[in-house]
Amino acid sequence: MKDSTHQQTREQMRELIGIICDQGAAALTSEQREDLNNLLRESPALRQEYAGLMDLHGQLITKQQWAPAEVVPFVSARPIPQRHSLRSIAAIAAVLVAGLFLLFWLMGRGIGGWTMGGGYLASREAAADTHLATLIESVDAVWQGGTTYAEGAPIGAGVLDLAAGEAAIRTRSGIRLYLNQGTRLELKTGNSAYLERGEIYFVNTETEWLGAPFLIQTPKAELEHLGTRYSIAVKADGVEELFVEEGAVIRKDSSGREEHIAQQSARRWSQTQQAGEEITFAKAAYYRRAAKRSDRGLPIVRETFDLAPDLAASLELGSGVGVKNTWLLWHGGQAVAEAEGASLGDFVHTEQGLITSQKAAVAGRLKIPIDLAQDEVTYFSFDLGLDPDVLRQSRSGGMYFAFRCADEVDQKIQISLTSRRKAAFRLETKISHYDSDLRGKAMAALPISPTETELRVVGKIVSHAAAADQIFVRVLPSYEEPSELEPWAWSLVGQSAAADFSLEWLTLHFRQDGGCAVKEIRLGRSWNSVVRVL
Amino acid sequence: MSGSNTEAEKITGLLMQHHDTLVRYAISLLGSEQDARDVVQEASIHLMRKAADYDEDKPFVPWACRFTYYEVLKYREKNRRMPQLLDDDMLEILATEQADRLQRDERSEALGFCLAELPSADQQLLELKYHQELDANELCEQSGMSRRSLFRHLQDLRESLYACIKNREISTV
Repeated sequence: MKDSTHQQTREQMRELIGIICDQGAAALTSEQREDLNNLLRESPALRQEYAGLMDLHGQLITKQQWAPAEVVPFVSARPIPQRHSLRSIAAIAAVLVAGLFLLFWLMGRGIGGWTMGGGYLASREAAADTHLATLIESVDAVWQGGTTYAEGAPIGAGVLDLAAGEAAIRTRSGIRLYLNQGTRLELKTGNSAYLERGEIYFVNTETEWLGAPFLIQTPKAELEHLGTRYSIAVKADGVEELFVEEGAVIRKDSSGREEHIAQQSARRWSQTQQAGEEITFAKAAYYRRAAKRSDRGLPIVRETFDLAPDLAASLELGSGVGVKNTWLLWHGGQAVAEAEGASLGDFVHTEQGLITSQKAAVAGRLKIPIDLAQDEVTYFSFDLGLDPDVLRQSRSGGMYFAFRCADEVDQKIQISLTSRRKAAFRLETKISHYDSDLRGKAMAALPISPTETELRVVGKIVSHAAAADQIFVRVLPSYEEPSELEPWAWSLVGQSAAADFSLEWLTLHFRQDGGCAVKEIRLGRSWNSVVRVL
Repeated sequence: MSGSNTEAEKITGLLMQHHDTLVRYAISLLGSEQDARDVVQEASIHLMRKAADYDEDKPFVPWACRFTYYEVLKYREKNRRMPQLLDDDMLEILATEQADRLQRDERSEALGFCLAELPSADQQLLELKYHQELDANELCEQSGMSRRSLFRHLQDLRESLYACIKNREISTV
């Protein structure tokens, strides 16, 4: 009898702990909370079990080192079965063999994001034959099989099956294809793709596009673009919907029938219809973006630093960036931090000028006036402690930083990335208006006009658990508005580093010999989060 | 000034080292990760301010747990209209017991070992839940389980991990 009662109370406790861990403490009813407290009160053994299991739950939440996700090639060796003739089947078999060959070849090279050796971007030209497109945007994208890929991952011919989230790829000819979740698209060549199901948004913004048209095939037809933006959806019931936003699209069905769809119009084809039925063109009706997680990738705090009368800088952290710790350390002056509209909950100021942030999700404003003694100050620097796990967990597989600086005289900006674990390692570049000097072997010269008085520098740091680390820097002159998408080309491509350690410290070191203003230093988890509103 | 800097630096280092332990402590008292992180955040500020009071000859974790406990109390007071997981008496008892426990077991490496013993599908499920933070619907979709089975299975996994960790600690002793 005693045993069975004990078993019952254990079972009850187990259920209550399960609710707390999996559905949240708020999911407990008031009766359940009362039961929990009574059980804890009555039995030290159950209390011990509760404490142990809750601690285990906490250990799992805070566990840093999970096994890195298996890196598999982006290219699928299984082409989509299309319902066609034997000749098509033979062609598919040929593609399959070619795909397998490609797969083995790519595996030998270590493809799958930032790779060994010189890094994939550095050897882009050599790989051009098989590199048909690049993953340029990955918003919580999970590919079939649960795999995720870093932005920048090269894509070869094969099937892209997006299970969740959304993604964008850019083909070699500059076409951008946005894939909505549930989309299955076979990238066949650099100029054609087969949309089996789902929805893609097609964008061609290249002003001098000279290549062959990019053809999108669907189960019913083939689409040729005569313009720049359209959306095509293949629904589960076989219905196809086309929305042409700009330019025009020629749709050719299997019987050779052609339809010309002008911009700002839309048509639908049912299973049986040959001719398309006009439907209302409404932007909201297509390219339905997958629901984004609100806590990722968006800049949500902006900090302003008043450094001296001539110096002004602000820091903006993207959400999630300072999940662990962010340190800011400057030299050559004293500062007192003041907070407006929020407590200093997330930033602690010490007399050294050290601020730690345990999380980035803070509202408010932090002012840090620094008394700079003109004769003594030769530089100030920001040492940003990047938690390697935060870097790795980033949805894009990278961390982005951006700053704007203007100067009246020579100014050198030194960007270095270092590892705490291997102090000897340093990936560094030094840029200025008048010269470009870099210490990383693979860095290219930086094309900056000496007449420029303002620069925007946007960098991407990639720290990959299973491949090389790299830094990419794009310098934008004042007249160039940053694109909403990550650029295809970078001004500087850092040398890729060995994969067995991670870069943890980003130092932005500004040497000032006179007037200088550094504005809006930002850290974020996506390109967009650091360039927006710059 | 240099003295206080050194103390602040030391506390910063210790906080970084034991941050996750304090989060675990707060989770067991509040039941919510987000609340726990907020509380630890506040506690860290106070720890930094009280850096000069820290006696280096004494262990850091119980000292920091005490600050965290006070922040838990403040947090509960601030949110007193919300239902609280634990009654005041239970909170006090668990806070003391858990602080002792964490001081003893803080660096246990048993979890990694016990996780590795699980079948790979179960490891993956836990990783999806705790590391990739998928919600219940996403987990159901990924695992093909119903909501009820999923919750039951997750609890089974935690219990087998807990049993494994306990056994391992006993055998190590």
